[in-house]
Amino acid sequence: MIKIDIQKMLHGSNGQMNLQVDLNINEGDFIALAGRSGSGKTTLLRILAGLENAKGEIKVGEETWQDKLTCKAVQKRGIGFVFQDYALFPNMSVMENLLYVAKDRDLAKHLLRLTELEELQNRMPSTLSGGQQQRVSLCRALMKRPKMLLMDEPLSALDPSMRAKLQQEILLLHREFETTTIMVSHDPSEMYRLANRVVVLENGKITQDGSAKDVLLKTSGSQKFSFEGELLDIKKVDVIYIAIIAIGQQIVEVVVSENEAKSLHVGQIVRVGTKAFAPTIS
Amino acid sequence: MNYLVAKVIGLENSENLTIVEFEAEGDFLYMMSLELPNIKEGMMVKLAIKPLSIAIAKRFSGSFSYSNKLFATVKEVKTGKLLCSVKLDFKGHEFEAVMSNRAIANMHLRADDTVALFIKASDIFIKEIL
Repeated sequence: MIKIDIQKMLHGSNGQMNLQVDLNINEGDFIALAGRSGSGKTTLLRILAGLENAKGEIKVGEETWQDKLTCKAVQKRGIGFVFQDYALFPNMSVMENLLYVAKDRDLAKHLLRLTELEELQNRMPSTLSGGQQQRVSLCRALMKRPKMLLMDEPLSALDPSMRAKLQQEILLLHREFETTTIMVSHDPSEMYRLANRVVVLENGKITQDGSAKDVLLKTSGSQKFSFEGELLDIKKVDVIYIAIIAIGQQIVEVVVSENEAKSLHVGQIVRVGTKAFAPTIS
Repeated sequence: MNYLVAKVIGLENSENLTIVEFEAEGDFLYMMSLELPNIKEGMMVKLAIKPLSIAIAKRFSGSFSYSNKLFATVKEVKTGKLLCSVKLDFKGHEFEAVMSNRAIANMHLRADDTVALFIKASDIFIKEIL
């Protein structure tokens, strides 16, 4: 069991905020940490890694990483960290990057085999694609067989197909090593695929904590198919009205009745919903 | 959108599929839904039905596979180029049904006509728990 009970005053873009997190994590869990920018996600990872100070306690099994008296140094915590921007040593080959962390050539080879990077072991990072570099940094983070793997939006710089491939590899490595993992993510499909628990931070506090489906399924009353969007326009056609709504990168049209049209105004943030029985998949 | 306050009087489950029975104004309504962890018998809810999900029948006899049948009075028929909007009174609640002109061409709907409203169980949803 990992017990986290910390607090820290943060000075964010919206003024002062008290980051206050009380969280118990089972060993081997894969936790997705979600929430808007500035909600304290990255700071929480940095506090766990020992890169930032905070008040409170962090206990990992029998080990105390932090309490009133102790604050274990970063290198003694047994943490693997994967950042969005890879952070590989540019003057070292793939293999050297891994061996720099731990001189365990067998483990390095095993990790490179699992992530299909074996043939690239002598290449320099600058000659690799973004996806390949991120796989190397993932392997490097596991070289110390860490007690906890912390990932801060590790896949957000990659294109969707590479992201899906790396999600598979993260899952494969998690099953093999059973490393307790906390991953900051904004991508619901990523959280659903990888995490067995999703924790949402808002203004420094945990506001939701549950399975990916329970936390991420947006419902509106009994409607299971629901999205938030911005009302761009509303047009009268015949005896009905058509609302044009931007949802993510897409525009959708929804037929509404006169009484609904009267209560809507352009620019409004609306929730578009229907029953799970109506949509089709193609 | 048409709204109707109703009481949950029964829930029938098969794995995560549920059929909910409601009572509203002395009539019974049925809703098909996926899992509904927050809905319990005895609760009051606001049901919603889109105007395009209501079918109207006049002098109806025989059987029909729609789970919900309510009797209402026609108040007004507004005709557009292709569609028409029928304003109805169901026990004091104003309802609207929208359909194509073609669909009601031979029905000669007029104000004060009594009609049957048909709504599929999969077209009714709970807007909110009261």
